[in-house]
Amino acid sequence: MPDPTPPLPPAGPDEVALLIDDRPVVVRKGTTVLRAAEAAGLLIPHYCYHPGLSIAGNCRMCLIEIDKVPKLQIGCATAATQGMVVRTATPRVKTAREGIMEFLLINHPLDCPICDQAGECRLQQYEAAYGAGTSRFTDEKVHWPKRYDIGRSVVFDAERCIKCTRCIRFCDEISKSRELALFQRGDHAIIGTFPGKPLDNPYSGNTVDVCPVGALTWKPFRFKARVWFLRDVPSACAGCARGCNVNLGTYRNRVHRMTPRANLEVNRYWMCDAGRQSYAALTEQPRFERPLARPATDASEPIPWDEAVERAAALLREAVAAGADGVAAIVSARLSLEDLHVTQRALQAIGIGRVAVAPHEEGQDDHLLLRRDKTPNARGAALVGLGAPNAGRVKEILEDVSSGRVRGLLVVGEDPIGDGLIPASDLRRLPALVAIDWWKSPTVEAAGVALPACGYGEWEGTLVNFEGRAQRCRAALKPQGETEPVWRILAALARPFGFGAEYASASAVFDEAAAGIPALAGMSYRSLGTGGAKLKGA
Amino acid sequence: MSLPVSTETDRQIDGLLGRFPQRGSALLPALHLIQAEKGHIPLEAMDYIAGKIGVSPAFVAGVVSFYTMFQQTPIGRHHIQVCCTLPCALRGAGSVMGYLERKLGIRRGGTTPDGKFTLSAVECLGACDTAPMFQINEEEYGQLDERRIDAILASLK
Ligand code: SF4
Ligand code: SF4
Ligand code: FES
Repeated sequence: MPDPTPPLPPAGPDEVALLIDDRPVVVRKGTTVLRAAEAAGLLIPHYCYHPGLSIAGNCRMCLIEIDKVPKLQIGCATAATQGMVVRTATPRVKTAREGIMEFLLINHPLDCPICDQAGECRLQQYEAAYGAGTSRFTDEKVHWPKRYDIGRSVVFDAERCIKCTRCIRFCDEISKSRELALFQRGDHAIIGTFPGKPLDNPYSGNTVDVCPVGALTWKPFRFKARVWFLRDVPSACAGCARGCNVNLGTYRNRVHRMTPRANLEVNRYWMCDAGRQSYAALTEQPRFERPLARPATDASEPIPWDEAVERAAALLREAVAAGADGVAAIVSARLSLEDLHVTQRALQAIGIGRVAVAPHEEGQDDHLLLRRDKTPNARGAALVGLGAPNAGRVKEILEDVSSGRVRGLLVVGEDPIGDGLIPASDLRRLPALVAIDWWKSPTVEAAGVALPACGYGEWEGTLVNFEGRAQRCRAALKPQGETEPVWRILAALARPFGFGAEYASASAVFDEAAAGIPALAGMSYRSLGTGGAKLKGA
Repeated sequence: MSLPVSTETDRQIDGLLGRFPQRGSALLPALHLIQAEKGHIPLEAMDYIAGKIGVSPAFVAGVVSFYTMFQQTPIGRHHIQVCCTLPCALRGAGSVMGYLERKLGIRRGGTTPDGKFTLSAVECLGACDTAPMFQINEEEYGQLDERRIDAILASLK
């Protein structure tokens, strides 16, 4: 009888060729069967295996059959070898998986209706796909703590835990904070912490992501939204110069959570807790939604956009006319590349030559992701010609404001008053203070004219991280009130000064910027995709 | 900061560390040394041994909790562990336990107020041929009846 199995493809010296469910695959030596199957487009179900963590081999969900090997083997820890014949869906494998599922669910409370994980839970997915659908267990289930504050931001439900140890391995291997361990044994086994040392590290939220079930939940997201209603909008975090790739989980024009999106070049599978909660600023800080003008003495009051832009332009024109030395701009490196590019061009058109980009530094670069530089786009500011963030220049400008030498100031996305760099009274005295920001900052309130901008999550644009990777932030929300993207505001502000460029979208701005900046040569907004692209020479 | 163990135990643990290619392997013998000195393994000692070996305190606490023979809270000087598994049960472990509870005036799991005895029910200790039996600290005692129990307990200080 002829051999019914397909022939093995040729393998290079560092490779092995094998058959998985009759599909020929070639992988590097040392690749596990689970990864090889992935390469062949086959899913071997698994709980404890996670691509970013060491292999534990404890859940047994990934059992597969290998020809000439008498017992089923775990795919996550078995290396593929030359000529191996693997089967992932034989009756033996199916029976084994049904058994595993029955065991995992034996004491499970089946409280999916009140579980935040429902909809993205491996237990639900695998029970539907591989389970027997029923349980033969008729005794009372074992009960465990269900709302245990295992850390500052994470709640543990021991009844849902399948003891895959992903959370422990995350803390041991990635955050290196090592708070978690498995206590007790057998069916008493439970995840826990050392008394007085709760789960509390700058990356604790990732334990919630790696938990394949609803045992670990993120406090700020608990009971906020059913995950199947959330639309995941791919973006980049603007919390620091790393630019972790993220998804903005959006429902009804509101971001409900921010989760890391895998990018092996940037953040791998992780993000920090501060970044994870950074979306909350948009709803927690007082929002600035309509243009404001402050007549000489009164508190500011809302005015229409056209009028606001006219008045702002008039203020700046007067200040420039009194001498170019008397006007300056302070610009934020938290703005997108598109914002910064148009800002740079607009400042030239208006005739503001004195510009400082404000730095924001805090803490230290750590071993994982967090950067001391809390601006997400310092590289972008330098690229478009505004210069790198420079505390000295900001200080000089503000000193000249206080001394009366600078009479006109344009502040874009910065809050020198709130940051304690200058007394509010000094800025209020300025004949021409124009502020652009997304929230009602003290500087906005002191401005002669203030123009409301879109906040993070509302604007589209590109950030260039500290390694020189240009990454796109996508808009997840409709802009609040009458807010506009900064690039559009600056273009409008510069128009009375003869600035002619019109842009339909952030992508048009990017393409214009790319055409003029050698490091961006050949890039287009589209070509950045969801993973970003490295600058030339970075 | 003062050590949570005696300098002698500390020195013995140092000696252990060099004996294993992986430092982590020294954890179990080190825990035994600590328990031998203290009677149980206090949290500070877990923290101390974790630092010494280079594992997390949580991991040490997990290991301690895995083995029921490690005590996490102080117990009596004499730990009476009555085997209650089938062969002993058939040979009268129930009445041995009942007698001990009455005699010591405590329930299983409890400790006498003077801190002399702790009474526990345990699974098979591998001495079924002498059932019913119990173990007190490291010593085994078989063929128990009330008279023999009285004599054994009387011999303990
Ligand atoms: S809490 Fe979640 S990640 Fe941790 S062991 Fe349990 S199921 Fe696994
Ligand atoms: S490390 Fe920086 S970029 Fe990454 S999530 Fe945290 S704040 Fe955001
Ligand atoms: S994924 Fe292989 S044993 Fe858990």
